[in-house]
Amino acid sequence: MLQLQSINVSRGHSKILSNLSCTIEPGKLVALVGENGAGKSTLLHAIAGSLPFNGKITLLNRSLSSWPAKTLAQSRAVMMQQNALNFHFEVPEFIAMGRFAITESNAQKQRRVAQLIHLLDLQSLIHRHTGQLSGGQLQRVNMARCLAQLDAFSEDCRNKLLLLDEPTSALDLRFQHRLLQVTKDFVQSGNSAIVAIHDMNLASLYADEVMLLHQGQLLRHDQTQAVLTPELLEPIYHTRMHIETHPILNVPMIFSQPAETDYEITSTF
Amino acid sequence: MHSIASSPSDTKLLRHNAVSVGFQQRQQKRHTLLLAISMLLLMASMASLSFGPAGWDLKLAIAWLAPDYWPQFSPLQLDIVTDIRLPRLCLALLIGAVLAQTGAATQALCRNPLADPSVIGISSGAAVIAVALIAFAPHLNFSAEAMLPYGAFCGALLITMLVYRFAQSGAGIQVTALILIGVAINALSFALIGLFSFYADDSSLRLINYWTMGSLAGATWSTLFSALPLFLVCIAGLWLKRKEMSLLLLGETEAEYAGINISRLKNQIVLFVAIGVGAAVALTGLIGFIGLVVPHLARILVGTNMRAMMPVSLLLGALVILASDWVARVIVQPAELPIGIVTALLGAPLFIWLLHRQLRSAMR
Repeated sequence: MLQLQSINVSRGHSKILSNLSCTIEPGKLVALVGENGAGKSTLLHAIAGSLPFNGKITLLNRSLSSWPAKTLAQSRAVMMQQNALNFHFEVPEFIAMGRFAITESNAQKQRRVAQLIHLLDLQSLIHRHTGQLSGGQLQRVNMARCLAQLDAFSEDCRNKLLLLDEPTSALDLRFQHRLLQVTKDFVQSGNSAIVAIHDMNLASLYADEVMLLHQGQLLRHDQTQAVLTPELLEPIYHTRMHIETHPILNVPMIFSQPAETDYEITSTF
Repeated sequence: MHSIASSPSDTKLLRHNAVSVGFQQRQQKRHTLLLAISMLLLMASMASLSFGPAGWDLKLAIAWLAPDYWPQFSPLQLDIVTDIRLPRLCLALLIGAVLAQTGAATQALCRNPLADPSVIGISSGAAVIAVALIAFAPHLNFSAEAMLPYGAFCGALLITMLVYRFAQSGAGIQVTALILIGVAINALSFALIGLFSFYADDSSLRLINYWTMGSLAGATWSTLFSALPLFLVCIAGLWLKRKEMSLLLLGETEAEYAGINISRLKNQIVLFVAIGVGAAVALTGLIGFIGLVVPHLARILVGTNMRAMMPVSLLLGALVILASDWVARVIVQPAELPIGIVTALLGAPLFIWLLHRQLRSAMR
């Protein structure tokens, strides 16, 4: 459903993404993994349409740039890392703003927002405004807004694309699982999600496929278990890794090991 | 594939009936508030029709509505209401609404609650063109009056685009840049207005002088009707964009992700603001701080969402102008103060306080 053909992104003279091609099928949760500065966010921004690139991106066999803004908004939602806001909205209103591109009655909108509030367990926050939320709470509220935008979990929610940039970075353990489980459920009804994530074990638990980025290049794009191996990851992260099996869920878990100190702390520079 | 995928899922909650998350209560509260402001507006309008140098009787407004039942008022008094007080009231209501809406829209455009057409220089840009027209019209033998709204609109449009271009940096609009550019443009504008006054004859000079401080005293039916299309285009245009402007408050990229054609929206806002400010400045001169203070009050009352805030801000704008005009008329009667003095006396300290509050919260 999403096709990328030889995507190149440069900033000044440095190449951030070089010659990246891949295809993402519906029903897949794809984890985007790689070191800091590997190009994960850049790739998501390019797919989101908010960054100029060379190459071709097609969503549902239609070039990304030829989508009308409102139609595109109903087919792909984007949750990027947060920047500070000058204006604050009450939480239910904020989520309802995701419904901009959808024509519907007020009652329908309110019902959908209420559903998502329950889904991401935001009931205790409905009287707060976004300025009063912690980073993790804001991530959950933003996730709810993205799902509202895609009309997720409605009868005919198919072939939609969700782009998440480190959605669990500020979440506690419970909501790391909740958010990814919700994403997984969303994907399983015929949608796709691309999730940039640093936590290999969460990727292992939830992702169907992993895209491994390294220095702007797509090193590997395959089934999760085929990519999350010490052979592939150790050279990228310069960290020793061991693979064990999850005692209950029978999926690979990755244990990293503190590095040999390869720096020195001196008092004089 | 993984057993976790088939474990009981929280999404089952979706099948439950949705419990209220307070939409209804909020809406009810909003409606009550709108009703209350409307009542106040009605009372203020009656007061505005009833009070003035030619008579101070609350019954006058009622008598004007039904002259047969209240014969104690002379036809002259009733004519004063029809020809002087009523156009002034209509102008006050329109100006209040326009200033509040353009203020709210400028704040959305700049994504900053401290932006306002009078603070960032749009109003004074409009004023420069208008003053030029007033000052040079007698020399060139044409009547400036009909051209004022359109000339002022051109000035407002030019300055809006200029300010928007200059305040933009890589990371978006910078509030300090915005306000400093406003300071510079205001200084430049007043220098130009001073320069133009030099060329003005005596009667134009008095007009310019009075008009740079803002006044509703010039309201007549003919000037009102000449600018009415501009006012209505501005109010209706911004009203229709209130949902989009709400999303714009989240940032341009976020708004784009949510399905907004961002460059078109920005152009539309700039155009409607320039139309509204141009027409307002042409008719009433410089009335500052309404566009800053009123949307702020509206946000305190009903929150940031422009869908809820715009109607409140519109009515509140009309109410605040009406009240300020009333103060301006009674405080030194039988003469009257320029209304711009009243709004600046109330608005400027409030602006300083708001600026202080925002800078303090930004430092945290």
